Amino acid sequence: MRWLLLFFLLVPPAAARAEFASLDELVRAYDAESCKACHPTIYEEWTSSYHARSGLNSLGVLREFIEAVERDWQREFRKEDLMRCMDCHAPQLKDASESLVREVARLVVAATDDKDAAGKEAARKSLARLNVNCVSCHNLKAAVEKNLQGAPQPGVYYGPTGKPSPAHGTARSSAITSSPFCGQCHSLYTAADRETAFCTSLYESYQDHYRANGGLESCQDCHMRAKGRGHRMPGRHDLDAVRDGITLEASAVGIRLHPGRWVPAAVVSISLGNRAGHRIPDG
Amino acid sequence: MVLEATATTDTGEIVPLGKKEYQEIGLDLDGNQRMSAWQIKEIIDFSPQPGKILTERFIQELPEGTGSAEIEVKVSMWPDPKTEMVAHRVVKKISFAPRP
Repeated sequence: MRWLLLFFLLVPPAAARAEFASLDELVRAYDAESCKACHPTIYEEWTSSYHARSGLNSLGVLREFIEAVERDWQREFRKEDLMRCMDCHAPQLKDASESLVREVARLVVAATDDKDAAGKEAARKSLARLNVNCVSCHNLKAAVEKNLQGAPQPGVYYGPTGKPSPAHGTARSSAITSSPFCGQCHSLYTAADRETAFCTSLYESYQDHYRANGGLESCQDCHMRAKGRGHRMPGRHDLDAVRDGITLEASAVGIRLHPGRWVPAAVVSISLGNRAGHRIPDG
Repeated sequence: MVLEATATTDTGEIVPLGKKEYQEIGLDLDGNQRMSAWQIKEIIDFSPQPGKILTERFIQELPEGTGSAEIEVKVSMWPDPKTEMVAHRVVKKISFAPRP
């Protein structure tokens, strides 16, 4: 009975396949707030993650890109352009109408350029509602092998176990515990028109330099399972994660140079190690 | 990521010993450095690769009369240009024998 009540009180985001003309509607359809009631620990971990702020990450670069499309590519900024960034930073925008895309572009400009502090803050607040949330990973990006498994089903949440839930549909996904899952975004981006954007080549570094040299751990092993990091998924902005990835040893000796003048000099030998599964830094 | 070594002499003078920055340099098709993802088409990679240990050596003259010095080696990440995050710091003492 308790579960039944929860089901009616906390309708999970539908991950609906509709076209949204307003930011409110889009955010509501993909909102992670309702996940909190049944998954409070995971939700709290996520709120302190960079995924939860991905709509605000790289805002300055996105602002420049909007300008560059009009100035250098000499055409109007459109949805396919926004999705070069937002396919990863806010994948729910795939369901935005062209008019909503223009509104998001306007918000990006206001959040970076608005002379009025209140206007700037209001725009940032709106954009902060766009992020990589529960729906992004557990539905929208859950099918790494779309041709084999089909597209993710609306309202179904894909996880490592597929344990049934009274609140929403579930399905087991082996993709979600794999590195290729994270590699969907943490890699060289190739748009539908085949033009690349070099946001990062972290996954290429992982494959070509870590796995190629015998490394076996997955992204999730270090960024989620280790030290109970969970859905915080700390990386380059987290001191503990950075410390785990780097080693430093040094020795030093004092000598005298230039016979006759005998100038004191310091000699330092340093060993800097990379224990991570990818180049450092990267993102 | 930045590796930096400095010496603080027994008279309190701070002497930079060496500095190295590890990063990818993004390039456009004409070999110009670019900072924006859509403009970058290839990289030159100066960052430490996974599983590898880099060895760096610095040698630097210190002021005449230095009898000893404290050597500090640190490696830092810069999540943004204003924030230094020191990942590791190693401190060593060196001293000098009297002049021959």
